[in-house]
Amino acid sequence: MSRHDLFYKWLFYAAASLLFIALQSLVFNRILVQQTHPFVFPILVAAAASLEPPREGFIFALVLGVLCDLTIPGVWPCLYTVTFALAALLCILIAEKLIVPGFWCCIVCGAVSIALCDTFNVVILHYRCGAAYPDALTRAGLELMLSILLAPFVYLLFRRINLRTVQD
Amino acid sequence: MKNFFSKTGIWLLAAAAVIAVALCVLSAVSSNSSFLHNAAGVVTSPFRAAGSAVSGWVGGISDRFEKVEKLQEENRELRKQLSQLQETVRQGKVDSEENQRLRKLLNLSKQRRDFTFESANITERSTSNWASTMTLSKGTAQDVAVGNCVVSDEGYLVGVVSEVGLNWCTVTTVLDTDCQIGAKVFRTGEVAVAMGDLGLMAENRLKLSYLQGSSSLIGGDQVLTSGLGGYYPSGLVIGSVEELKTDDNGLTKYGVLIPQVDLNALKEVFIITSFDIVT
Repeated sequence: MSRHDLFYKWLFYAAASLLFIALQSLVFNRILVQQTHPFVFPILVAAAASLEPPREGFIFALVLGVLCDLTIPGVWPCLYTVTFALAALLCILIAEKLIVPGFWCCIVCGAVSIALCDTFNVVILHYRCGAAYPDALTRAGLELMLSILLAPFVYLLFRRINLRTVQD
Repeated sequence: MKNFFSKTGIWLLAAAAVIAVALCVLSAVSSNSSFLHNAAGVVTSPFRAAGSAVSGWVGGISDRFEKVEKLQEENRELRKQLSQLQETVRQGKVDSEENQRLRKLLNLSKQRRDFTFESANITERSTSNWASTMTLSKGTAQDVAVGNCVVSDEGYLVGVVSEVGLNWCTVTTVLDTDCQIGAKVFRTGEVAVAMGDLGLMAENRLKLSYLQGSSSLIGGDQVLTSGLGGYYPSGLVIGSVEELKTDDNGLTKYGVLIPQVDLNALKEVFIITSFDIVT
Protein backbone atom coordinates (compact mmCIF):
# COMPACT_ATOMS: atom_id res chain seq x y z
CA MET A 1 0.00 0.00 0.00
CA SER A 2 1.39 3.38 -0.99
CA ARG A 3 1.95 6.15 1.52
CA HIS A 4 -0.89 8.07 -0.11
CA ASP A 5 -3.36 5.17 0.39
CA LEU A 6 -2.15 4.66 3.94
CA PHE A 7 -2.76 8.32 4.71
CA TYR A 8 -6.31 8.22 3.36
CA LYS A 9 -7.09 4.96 5.11
CA TRP A 10 -6.16 6.39 8.50
CA LEU A 11 -7.87 9.65 7.71
CA PHE A 12 -11.09 7.69 7.25
CA TYR A 13 -10.44 5.74 10.45
CA ALA A 14 -9.86 9.03 12.31
CA ALA A 15 -13.11 10.43 10.92
CA ALA A 16 -15.01 7.27 11.92
CA SER A 17 -13.48 7.42 15.39
CA LEU A 18 -14.44 11.09 15.72
CA LEU A 19 -18.00 10.16 14.81
CA PHE A 20 -18.10 7.58 17.61
CA ILE A 21 -16.44 10.02 20.05
CA ALA A 22 -19.16 12.58 19.24
CA LEU A 23 -21.84 9.91 19.68
CA GLN A 24 -20.27 8.91 23.01
CA SER A 25 -20.49 12.47 24.25
CA LEU A 26 -23.93 13.30 22.87
CA VAL A 27 -25.81 10.03 22.99
CA PHE A 28 -24.10 7.12 24.75
CA ASN A 29 -23.31 9.13 27.91
CA ARG A 30 -27.07 9.66 28.33
CA ILE A 31 -28.10 6.01 27.98
CA LEU A 32 -27.94 5.20 31.68
CA VAL A 33 -28.68 1.82 33.19
CA GLN A 34 -28.04 2.01 36.94
CA GLN A 35 -25.89 5.09 36.28
CA THR A 36 -23.74 3.08 33.83
CA HIS A 37 -23.50 3.90 30.13
CA PRO A 38 -21.85 2.22 27.13
CA PHE A 39 -18.17 3.03 26.58
CA VAL A 40 -17.16 2.84 22.94
CA PHE A 41 -13.39 3.56 23.05
CA PRO A 42 -12.15 0.00 23.82
CA ILE A 43 -14.32 -1.28 20.96
CA LEU A 44 -12.60 1.14 18.55
CA VAL A 45 -9.23 -0.20 19.70
CA ALA A 46 -10.38 -3.79 19.27
CA ALA A 47 -11.85 -3.23 15.80
CA ALA A 48 -8.73 -1.48 14.48
CA ALA A 49 -6.35 -4.02 16.04
CA SER A 50 -8.26 -7.02 14.69
CA LEU A 51 -8.76 -5.66 11.16
CA GLU A 52 -5.50 -3.84 10.48
CA PRO A 53 -1.83 -4.95 10.44
CA PRO A 54 -0.41 -5.29 13.99
CA ARG A 55 1.85 -2.24 13.90
CA GLU A 56 -0.84 0.11 12.63
CA GLY A 57 -3.46 -1.28 15.02
CA PHE A 58 -1.11 -0.84 17.96
CA ILE A 59 -0.23 2.76 17.04
CA PHE A 60 -3.95 3.57 16.68
CA ALA A 61 -4.57 2.16 20.19
CA LEU A 62 -1.66 4.13 21.61
CA VAL A 63 -2.79 7.42 20.08
CA LEU A 64 -6.40 6.89 21.19
CA GLY A 65 -5.19 5.98 24.69
CA VAL A 66 -3.12 9.17 25.01
CA LEU A 67 -6.01 11.30 23.73
CA CYS A 68 -8.39 9.67 26.22
CA ASP A 69 -5.96 10.21 29.09
CA LEU A 70 -5.64 13.89 28.14
CA THR A 71 -9.38 14.53 27.85
CA ILE A 72 -11.22 12.06 30.11
CA PRO A 73 -10.75 12.28 33.89
CA GLY A 74 -9.81 8.77 34.93
CA VAL A 75 -8.79 6.91 38.06
CA TRP A 76 -5.12 6.87 36.97
CA PRO A 77 -3.23 9.44 34.80
CA CYS A 78 -2.09 6.89 32.17
CA LEU A 79 -4.92 4.38 32.49
CA TYR A 80 -6.08 4.43 28.86
CA THR A 81 -2.57 4.57 27.38
CA VAL A 82 -1.65 1.39 29.23
CA THR A 83 -4.94 -0.49 28.90
CA PHE A 84 -5.51 0.32 25.23
CA ALA A 85 -1.94 -0.69 24.35
CA LEU A 86 -2.34 -4.00 26.21
CA ALA A 87 -5.81 -4.50 24.71
CA ALA A 88 -4.39 -3.97 21.22
CA LEU A 89 -1.70 -6.60 21.87
CA LEU A 90 -4.32 -9.10 23.04
CA CYS A 91 -6.54 -8.36 20.04
CA ILE A 92 -3.60 -8.81 17.65
CA LEU A 93 -2.88 -12.15 19.33
CA ILE A 94 -6.52 -13.27 19.08
CA ALA A 95 -6.80 -12.20 15.43
CA GLU A 96 -3.56 -13.97 14.49
CA LYS A 97 -3.78 -17.16 16.56
CA LEU A 98 -7.33 -17.85 17.73
CA ILE A 99 -10.15 -16.47 15.58
CA VAL A 100 -10.15 -15.55 11.91
CA PRO A 101 -10.42 -11.74 11.61
CA GLY A 102 -14.04 -10.84 11.01
CA PHE A 103 -17.26 -10.09 12.84
CA TRP A 104 -16.90 -12.62 15.68
CA CYS A 105 -13.25 -11.83 16.13
CA CYS A 106 -14.16 -8.16 16.53
CA ILE A 107 -16.87 -9.00 19.09
CA VAL A 108 -14.50 -11.21 21.12
CA CYS A 109 -11.70 -8.62 20.90
CA GLY A 110 -14.14 -5.88 21.96
CA ALA A 111 -15.21 -7.90 24.99
CA VAL A 112 -11.58 -8.61 25.93
CA SER A 113 -10.69 -4.96 25.50
CA ILE A 114 -13.53 -3.72 27.73
CA ALA A 115 -12.84 -6.43 30.29
CA LEU A 116 -9.19 -5.36 30.46
CA CYS A 117 -10.10 -1.68 31.01
CA ASP A 118 -12.61 -2.67 33.67
CA THR A 119 -10.11 -4.94 35.44
CA PHE A 120 -7.70 -2.02 35.77
CA ASN A 121 -10.46 0.27 37.01
CA VAL A 122 -11.73 -2.26 39.56
CA VAL A 123 -8.28 -3.02 40.97
CA ILE A 124 -7.19 0.65 41.14
CA LEU A 125 -10.45 1.75 42.79
CA HIS A 126 -10.29 -1.13 45.26
CA TYR A 127 -6.80 -0.25 46.42
CA ARG A 128 -7.22 3.53 46.27
CA CYS A 129 -10.73 4.06 47.69
CA GLY A 130 -11.56 0.64 49.14
CA ALA A 131 -14.32 0.07 46.57
CA ALA A 132 -16.04 -3.25 47.28
CA TYR A 133 -15.37 -5.92 44.63
CA PRO A 134 -19.05 -6.97 44.23
CA ASP A 135 -20.12 -3.37 43.50
CA ALA A 136 -17.22 -2.80 41.14
CA LEU A 137 -17.74 -6.10 39.33
CA THR A 138 -21.46 -5.40 38.92
CA ARG A 139 -20.60 -2.07 37.29
CA ALA A 140 -17.95 -3.73 35.12
CA GLY A 141 -20.41 -6.42 33.97
CA LEU A 142 -23.02 -3.82 33.15
CA GLU A 143 -20.54 -1.71 31.21
CA LEU A 144 -19.40 -4.78 29.27
CA MET A 145 -22.97 -5.76 28.36
CA LEU A 146 -23.94 -2.25 27.28
CA SER A 147 -20.74 -1.52 25.37
CA ILE A 148 -20.59 -4.80 23.46
CA LEU A 149 -23.90 -3.85 21.81
CA LEU A 150 -21.97 -1.13 19.97
CA ALA A 151 -19.37 -3.56 18.60
CA PRO A 152 -21.36 -4.57 15.47
CA PHE A 153 -21.78 -0.91 14.45
CA VAL A 154 -18.10 -0.15 14.95
CA TYR A 155 -17.15 -3.34 13.10
CA LEU A 156 -19.41 -2.53 10.14
CA LEU A 157 -18.00 0.97 9.71
CA PHE A 158 -14.35 -0.05 10.23
CA ARG A 159 -14.76 -3.08 7.98
CA ARG A 160 -16.15 -0.86 5.25
CA ILE A 161 -13.16 1.47 5.50
CA ASN A 162 -10.82 -1.53 5.54
CA LEU A 163 -12.42 -3.12 2.43
CA ARG A 164 -12.62 0.15 0.53
CA THR A 165 -8.97 1.00 1.11
CA VAL A 166 -7.80 -2.55 0.32
CA GLN A 167 -9.80 -2.57 -2.95
CA ASP A 168 -8.47 0.86 -3.91
CA MET B 1 2.72 -11.87 16.86
CA LYS B 2 6.27 -13.14 16.96
CA ASN B 3 6.99 -11.16 13.80
CA PHE B 4 5.39 -8.10 15.25
CA PHE B 5 7.61 -8.24 18.33
CA SER B 6 10.79 -9.00 16.44
CA LYS B 7 10.29 -6.07 14.07
CA THR B 8 8.82 -2.88 15.47
CA GLY B 9 6.57 -4.11 18.26
CA ILE B 10 9.18 -3.89 20.97
CA TRP B 11 9.88 -0.24 20.09
CA LEU B 12 6.19 0.56 20.11
CA LEU B 13 5.81 -1.08 23.51
CA ALA B 14 8.73 0.95 24.79
CA ALA B 15 7.10 4.11 23.38
CA ALA B 16 3.86 3.22 25.18
CA ALA B 17 5.73 2.75 28.44
CA VAL B 18 7.57 6.08 28.07
CA ILE B 19 4.32 7.94 27.27
CA ALA B 20 2.57 6.32 30.24
CA VAL B 21 5.36 7.31 32.62
CA ALA B 22 5.44 10.84 31.17
CA LEU B 23 1.68 11.22 31.72
CA CYS B 24 2.02 10.05 35.33
CA VAL B 25 4.96 12.41 35.99
CA LEU B 26 3.18 15.38 34.37
CA SER B 27 0.09 14.70 36.44
CA ALA B 28 2.11 14.40 39.66
CA VAL B 29 4.27 17.51 39.30
CA SER B 30 1.66 20.06 38.24
CA SER B 31 -0.67 21.62 40.80
CA ASN B 32 -3.40 22.59 38.30
CA SER B 33 -3.30 20.65 35.05
CA SER B 34 -0.23 19.77 33.02
CA PHE B 35 0.55 21.68 29.81
CA LEU B 36 -0.69 18.78 27.66
CA HIS B 37 -3.94 18.37 29.63
CA ASN B 38 -4.49 22.11 29.49
CA ALA B 39 -3.86 22.26 25.73
CA ALA B 40 -6.15 19.25 25.10
CA GLY B 41 -8.85 20.89 27.23
CA VAL B 42 -8.54 24.23 25.42
CA VAL B 43 -8.63 22.58 21.97
CA THR B 44 -11.65 20.39 22.78
CA SER B 45 -13.48 23.16 24.64
CA PRO B 46 -15.36 24.59 21.59
CA PHE B 47 -16.45 21.09 20.54
CA ARG B 48 -17.68 20.34 24.06
CA ALA B 49 -19.60 23.62 24.11
CA ALA B 50 -21.12 22.85 20.69
CA GLY B 51 -22.07 19.34 21.80
CA SER B 52 -23.62 20.66 24.97
CA ALA B 53 -25.61 23.24 22.96
CA VAL B 54 -26.91 20.54 20.60
CA SER B 55 -27.93 18.20 23.43
CA GLY B 56 -29.50 21.14 25.29
CA TRP B 57 -31.54 21.98 22.19
CA VAL B 58 -32.69 18.36 21.81
CA GLY B 59 -33.46 18.20 25.54
CA GLY B 60 -35.47 21.43 25.26
CA ILE B 61 -37.64 19.91 22.52
CA SER B 62 -38.40 16.82 24.60
CA ASP B 63 -39.15 19.02 27.64
CA ARG B 64 -41.97 20.70 25.69
CA PHE B 65 -43.75 17.38 25.54
CA GLU B 66 -44.04 17.22 29.35
CA LYS B 67 -47.57 16.56 30.41
CA VAL B 68 -49.56 19.63 31.37
CA GLU B 69 -51.32 17.78 34.21
CA LYS B 70 -47.98 16.96 35.80
CA LEU B 71 -46.93 20.60 35.70
CA GLN B 72 -50.27 21.74 37.12
CA GLU B 73 -49.94 19.27 39.98
CA GLU B 74 -46.42 20.52 40.65
CA ASN B 75 -47.67 24.09 40.57
CA ARG B 76 -50.33 23.32 43.22
CA GLU B 77 -47.70 21.66 45.40
CA LEU B 78 -45.34 24.61 45.01
CA ARG B 79 -48.09 27.11 45.96
CA LYS B 80 -48.69 25.13 49.14
CA GLN B 81 -44.95 25.14 49.90
CA LEU B 82 -44.77 28.88 49.16
CA SER B 83 -47.43 29.73 51.74
CA GLN B 84 -45.60 27.58 54.32
CA LEU B 85 -42.31 29.29 53.50
CA GLN B 86 -43.88 32.76 53.75
CA GLU B 87 -44.95 31.88 57.28
CA THR B 88 -41.41 30.71 58.05
CA VAL B 89 -39.95 33.95 56.63
CA ARG B 90 -42.26 36.05 58.84
CA GLN B 91 -41.10 34.10 61.90
CA GLY B 92 -37.50 34.36 60.65
CA LYS B 93 -37.71 38.17 60.49
CA VAL B 94 -38.81 38.35 64.11
CA ASP B 95 -36.03 35.93 65.13
CA SER B 96 -33.47 37.88 63.12
CA GLU B 97 -34.38 41.16 64.84
CA GLU B 98 -34.14 39.46 68.21
CA ASN B 99 -30.79 37.96 67.20
CA GLN B 100 -29.47 41.38 66.21
CA ARG B 101 -30.54 42.88 69.56
CA LEU B 102 -28.91 40.07 71.51
CA ARG B 103 -25.69 40.27 69.45
CA LYS B 104 -25.53 43.99 70.18
CA LEU B 105 -26.05 43.33 73.88
CA LEU B 106 -23.27 40.71 73.94
CA ASN B 107 -21.04 42.80 71.67
CA LEU B 108 -20.66 40.03 69.05
CA SER B 109 -19.61 40.78 65.47
CA LYS B 110 -22.33 40.56 62.85
CA GLN B 111 -22.80 37.22 61.09
CA ARG B 112 -22.09 37.29 57.39
CA ARG B 113 -21.54 34.95 54.49
CA ASP B 114 -19.76 36.51 51.52
CA PHE B 115 -19.32 34.33 48.47
CA THR B 116 -17.80 35.24 45.10
CA PHE B 117 -19.59 33.24 42.44
CA GLU B 118 -18.60 32.48 38.86
CA SER B 119 -21.38 31.02 36.73
CA ALA B 120 -20.45 28.21 34.34
CA ASN B 121 -22.13 25.91 31.86
CA ILE B 122 -21.72 22.15 31.97
CA THR B 123 -20.08 21.26 28.68
CA GLU B 124 -19.59 17.54 29.29
CA ARG B 125 -20.49 14.83 31.78
CA SER B 126 -18.40 11.81 32.81
CA THR B 127 -17.41 9.68 29.86
CA SER B 128 -15.96 7.07 32.19
CA ASN B 129 -18.30 4.88 34.23
CA TRP B 130 -15.80 4.85 37.08
CA ALA B 131 -15.88 8.51 37.99
CA SER B 132 -18.63 11.06 38.43
CA THR B 133 -17.29 14.27 36.93
CA MET B 134 -18.42 17.26 34.91
CA THR B 135 -16.47 19.60 32.66
CA LEU B 136 -17.36 23.28 33.05
CA SER B 137 -16.82 26.24 30.73
CA LYS B 138 -14.69 28.35 33.14
CA GLY B 139 -11.04 28.04 34.15
CA THR B 140 -8.00 29.87 35.51
CA ALA B 141 -8.83 32.86 33.28
CA GLN B 142 -11.84 33.43 35.55
CA ASP B 143 -9.90 32.78 38.81
CA VAL B 144 -11.20 29.23 39.20
CA ALA B 145 -8.84 27.06 41.25
CA VAL B 146 -8.58 23.46 42.36
CA GLY B 147 -10.62 22.95 45.55
CA ASN B 148 -13.32 25.52 44.72
CA CYS B 149 -16.82 24.35 45.65
CA VAL B 150 -19.46 24.19 42.93
CA VAL B 151 -23.12 24.76 43.76
CA SER B 152 -26.43 24.69 41.90
CA ASP B 153 -28.56 27.82 41.40
CA GLU B 154 -30.37 26.96 44.67
CA GLY B 155 -27.02 26.84 46.50
CA TYR B 156 -26.87 23.05 46.88
CA LEU B 157 -23.42 21.47 46.70
CA VAL B 158 -22.66 19.81 43.35
CA GLY B 159 -18.97 18.98 43.85
CA VAL B 160 -15.45 20.30 44.05
CA VAL B 161 -13.12 21.49 41.26
CA SER B 162 -10.45 18.81 40.83
CA GLU B 163 -8.60 19.98 37.72
CA VAL B 164 -8.45 23.36 36.05
CA GLY B 165 -7.21 24.65 32.70
CA LEU B 166 -7.29 28.02 30.97
CA ASN B 167 -10.99 28.04 29.98
CA TRP B 168 -12.25 24.77 31.43
CA CYS B 169 -12.32 22.90 34.70
CA THR B 170 -13.29 19.45 35.87
CA VAL B 171 -15.62 19.05 38.82
CA THR B 172 -15.60 15.88 40.90
CA THR B 173 -19.21 15.55 42.01
CA VAL B 174 -20.29 14.58 45.51
CA LEU B 175 -21.03 11.06 44.20
CA ASP B 176 -17.47 10.36 43.06
CA THR B 177 -15.32 7.94 45.07
CA ASP B 178 -12.58 10.61 45.24
CA CYS B 179 -14.86 13.15 46.92
CA GLN B 180 -14.59 13.47 50.71
CA ILE B 181 -16.12 16.49 52.43
CA GLY B 182 -16.43 17.37 56.12
CA ALA B 183 -20.14 17.31 56.94
CA LYS B 184 -22.45 18.31 59.76
CA VAL B 185 -25.98 17.10 60.48
CA PHE B 186 -28.12 20.23 60.73
CA ARG B 187 -30.53 18.90 63.40
CA THR B 188 -28.05 17.28 65.77
CA GLY B 189 -24.80 19.10 64.94
CA GLU B 190 -23.08 15.72 64.60
CA VAL B 191 -19.88 15.89 62.53
CA ALA B 192 -19.07 13.23 59.92
CA VAL B 193 -17.58 12.82 56.44
CA ALA B 194 -19.69 12.75 53.26
CA MET B 195 -17.99 10.60 50.63
CA GLY B 196 -18.74 8.91 47.35
CA ASP B 197 -19.12 5.14 47.22
CA LEU B 198 -18.99 3.03 44.06
CA GLY B 199 -21.96 0.88 45.08
CA LEU B 200 -24.11 3.87 46.03
CA MET B 201 -23.04 5.84 42.94
CA ALA B 202 -25.19 3.46 40.88
CA GLU B 203 -28.23 4.61 42.88
CA ASN B 204 -27.30 8.32 42.78
CA ARG B 205 -26.52 8.24 46.50
CA LEU B 206 -23.48 8.93 48.68
CA LYS B 207 -22.23 7.82 52.06
CA LEU B 208 -22.06 9.65 55.41
CA SER B 209 -19.20 7.93 57.23
CA TYR B 210 -17.41 8.14 60.59
CA LEU B 211 -20.67 8.50 62.53
CA GLN B 212 -20.59 8.20 66.28
CA GLY B 213 -21.76 4.87 67.71
CA SER B 214 -24.62 6.63 69.46
CA SER B 215 -25.73 8.43 66.31
CA SER B 216 -29.37 9.48 66.39
CA LEU B 217 -29.80 10.25 62.69
CA ILE B 218 -33.25 9.86 61.21
CA GLY B 219 -34.46 9.80 57.62
CA GLY B 220 -34.80 13.31 56.20
CA ASP B 221 -32.08 14.89 58.36
CA GLN B 222 -30.35 17.55 56.31
CA VAL B 223 -26.55 17.32 55.97
CA LEU B 224 -24.44 20.44 55.34
CA THR B 225 -20.75 21.10 54.82
CA SER B 226 -19.06 21.55 58.20
CA GLY B 227 -16.47 24.08 57.02
CA LEU B 228 -14.03 22.67 59.58
CA GLY B 229 -10.48 23.53 58.61
CA GLY B 230 -11.65 26.45 56.50
CA TYR B 231 -10.97 24.61 53.26
CA TYR B 232 -14.59 24.52 52.10
CA PRO B 233 -17.33 27.01 53.11
CA SER B 234 -19.70 25.86 55.84
CA GLY B 235 -23.46 25.53 55.52
CA LEU B 236 -23.72 24.32 51.91
CA VAL B 237 -26.46 21.69 51.66
CA ILE B 238 -25.05 18.32 50.58
CA GLY B 239 -28.18 16.21 50.89
CA SER B 240 -30.57 14.50 53.25
CA VAL B 241 -30.34 11.20 55.10
CA GLU B 242 -32.26 8.36 53.49
CA GLU B 243 -31.41 5.58 55.92
CA LEU B 244 -28.87 4.47 58.49
CA LYS B 245 -26.92 1.27 57.80
CA THR B 246 -24.35 -0.82 59.63
CA ASP B 247 -20.89 -1.26 58.08
CA ASP B 248 -19.67 -4.70 56.98
CA ASN B 249 -17.64 -4.98 60.21
CA GLY B 250 -20.91 -4.78 62.20
CA LEU B 251 -19.48 -2.19 64.60
CA THR B 252 -19.83 1.17 62.91
CA LYS B 253 -22.73 2.82 61.15
CA TYR B 254 -23.02 4.96 58.05
CA GLY B 255 -25.78 7.04 56.57
CA VAL B 256 -27.01 6.88 52.98
CA LEU B 257 -27.48 10.40 51.62
CA ILE B 258 -29.66 11.55 48.77
CA PRO B 259 -27.93 14.55 47.14
CA GLN B 260 -30.11 17.64 47.28
CA VAL B 261 -29.41 18.35 43.64
CA ASP B 262 -30.30 16.19 40.63
CA LEU B 263 -26.91 16.00 38.93
CA ASN B 264 -28.31 14.63 35.68
CA ALA B 265 -30.69 17.58 35.26
CA LEU B 266 -28.14 20.35 35.82
CA LYS B 267 -27.18 22.65 32.97
CA GLU B 268 -25.65 25.65 34.72
CA VAL B 269 -23.75 25.80 38.00
CA PHE B 270 -21.91 28.37 40.13
CA ILE B 271 -18.29 28.08 41.24
CA ILE B 272 -17.46 29.65 44.61
CA THR B 273 -14.09 31.22 43.78
CA SER B 274 -13.66 32.82 47.23
CA PHE B 275 -15.61 33.03 50.48
CA ASP B 276 -15.58 34.79 53.82
CA ILE B 277 -17.80 33.49 56.60
CA VAL B 278 -18.15 35.09 60.04
CA THR B 279 -20.34 33.15 62.50
